[in-house]
Order: sequence, then structure tokens, then C-alpha cells
Amino acid sequence: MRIRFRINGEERKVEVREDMTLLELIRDVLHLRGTKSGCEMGECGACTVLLNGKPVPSCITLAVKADGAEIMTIEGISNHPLIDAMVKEGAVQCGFCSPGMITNLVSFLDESANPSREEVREALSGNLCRCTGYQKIVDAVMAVKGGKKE
Amino acid sequence: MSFKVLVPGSLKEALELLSDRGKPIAGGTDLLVRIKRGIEDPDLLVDITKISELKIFRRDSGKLEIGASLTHAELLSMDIPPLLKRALSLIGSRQIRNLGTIGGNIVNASPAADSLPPLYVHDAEVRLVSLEGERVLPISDFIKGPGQTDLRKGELLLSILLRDFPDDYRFIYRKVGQRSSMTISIASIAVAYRLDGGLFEDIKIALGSVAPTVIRAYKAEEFLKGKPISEDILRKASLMIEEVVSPISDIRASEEYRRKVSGRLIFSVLEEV
Repeated sequence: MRIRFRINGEERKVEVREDMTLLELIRDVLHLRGTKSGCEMGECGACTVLLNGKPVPSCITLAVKADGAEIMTIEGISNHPLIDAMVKEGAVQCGFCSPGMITNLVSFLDESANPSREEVREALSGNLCRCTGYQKIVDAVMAVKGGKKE
Repeated sequence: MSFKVLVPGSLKEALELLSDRGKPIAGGTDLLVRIKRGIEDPDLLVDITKISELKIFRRDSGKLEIGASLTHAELLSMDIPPLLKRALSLIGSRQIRNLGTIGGNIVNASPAADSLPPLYVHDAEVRLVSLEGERVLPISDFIKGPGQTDLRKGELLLSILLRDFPDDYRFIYRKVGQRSSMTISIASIAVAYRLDGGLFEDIKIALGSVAPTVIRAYKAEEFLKGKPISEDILRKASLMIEEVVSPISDIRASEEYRRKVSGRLIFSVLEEV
């Protein structure tokens, strides 16, 4: 199937296999390797991308759903204060979960300008980190909230 | 895993495909996982998310009609009954709620489906369509067992019909899981009730994850009507709930734990008063 979409602001037309996932499209066809393949079951969040502004697990999203849509991957989010805050707070260790975390959290911060720690933790419930234990990741979100419109 | 996907733009086109050999897919949060695990191997998927009839959301002569392909996240931003809102907010994660649909949650017919206890309390109905026509069934007749429904070949769940409770009802939704978010429920309860001078004037109780389907605790409901909201009375009701459930032991919890917890959950009404 031939699909058309915008990814990180760029218009693309691509021929895809219909049983291809959005994750395969992003990594294997478009060679954007920032988005990670983790559990492949929609549970770990490593493959999170924004589909029309909403975070989705790309490993259980069909590539054909990208037709006519706007996709944002970690490569399109290079200039967000959350990234600086995560570095400053030490919220990255092995880094494998970070692209999915950041992609999800960027959209969360757009929706909730002033979240509580509890709300941040709920928002992160679909992103697994096996290194840092979330504390520093939540700290980074709390450091950036309110300051993001500077 | 090798299949074709068609994305019909009209209901009629979708029903024609489904009457032939297609399998409907909406969010795909369960179906694609089953396909990846090799549990299902369809050769044609019919993406039903571009059909406007399945995105219906309207209140008409006292009834709310909810289109089957509305996602949990979409419904959470709409004016839906409080019990349903609470339950949908506890489904999966943000990511899953953006993909998963209420129709998918129903048709999967998991005893642990978070949307089902509220729908049972509301005595919701499902509207099913096929090329032959349309039928409306109570949700409790539609769901037959774990993963089993009365959906016929070529039939599609179009929408869910329910009535709002009057303003003086109170609601409880509790989900017991191994963690508070992104978790499959071990036991859950949805309650709608109305008090009149400290007595239960009306009460409806549904339980999830403690029987082959979500169930209503009719005996406990009847017992509670006209009785005061007190610990003593609730203890008796909790024993009736323990009798009506038929839980299983699995990796999440034992049968005995589920039975005890489902009885205890009715005490939640004390916290809401």
C-alpha cells in the first residue's frame, strides 16, 4: 500500500507492506533509529512516537495508520527543555527507554502544564525504565514544568 | 504474521468485507499482540477506524449512544458517565488509551476488561449491525464467557447504548491490581447507588475479574435495598458477593484472595459517604 504522511515536519510518500508496524516503518524503512524496539507488545513504551500529537506504542500500530497522519519521533524533538532537565537531573542511564519517555512526556507536558508528581508517575506508567528507577525522571519533569514556555 | 489490510471509508463497504472473510481491527492493542504471538493468523484485516458511524456520540431521548471505535482517550475528553470515566482512566497507559477503543474492550470479552463493570451497572446495550440488519442486545447477553461473545460472522459492534443515572446517585469504581496503573485487574467493582435518609433506596453492583464474565451481584443488591448503610449490613452483603463470584487462580492472584477481596470491595461505599 502506498501511504503519505509527515514525519518530523517532512512530507514522505512510501510503499509499505500492509502487515508492517509503524515501528518497522520508522526504523527499517525510514532508518530513524532513535525509536527503540523493546517488548514488541505495547507494554514497555520504548517505541513510543506521536501520531497526530498523541503518544502511541508504534510496535502495535500498523504502518498504514500513518497514512495522512503527522508523526513525531525523538529525532523531531531535539530542542525541548525536558531533554536538558533530564541531563541535569541524571535521568538517563543506559538510555534505551529515554526516546520513548521523552516523546510521551513532551506531549504530556503540552496537555498538563502543572502536573503533580503523582500525575507524572501515572503518565509514565506505560514507559519502563530498568536503570534509574523513575525518581530522577520524575524530578526532571518537575524541574521543567512551568518553565517550558520561557 | 502476514496479512492484508483494507481501510473502508463507509459502513456498507466494511460490512461487505466482513461478511466475506475480513476480521475487524480498531486500536489493535490486543489483536496485534495476539497476531504477533501466533494465537491468531488472519489473512485480511478491516480497519474500522475511518467509519463515521462508529464515532457516534449522542444523547437522544434519555439514552447515550457511544460509537464503538471511540478511543478511551477520546471518551475521557467527552461528557461520559462518571463510573465509565473512572474506569477508562485506569485502562492501560496513556499510549494504550490513545489506541484502544471501547468497542475493542467489549468485544475482547475479557473478564478483567475495565470498561465492563460500569457498563453492566448501567444495564448497557450493544448495537450490532451486519448486511442482514441490526439487533440490540443487553451487554450481559452479548458477552458469553472469557473471550466469547454472541457476535455473528459478518457482524460489527456499532455502538453502546446506556442511560445516565439521575443526579442524586453516587458511584464507586475500585480496581485491585498489582500496581496502581498499567495493570490487569485482580478484582474490580462498580457500584451506583442512591441513599434516602441513610437507607439504600437503589443499588447496582457489578464485579470484574472474579468470574468467567463480569457479573452483577443481584442478591446483594436486593438485600441492601431499604437497609441502612452500616458496617454490619455491608458485612452481610459482602458474604453474598463472596457466594456469587467464581474466581480462578492465576499468576496475578489466587482464587481465595479474589473471593475475599471482591467481598471487601463493597465496603468502599463507606468511604464515599
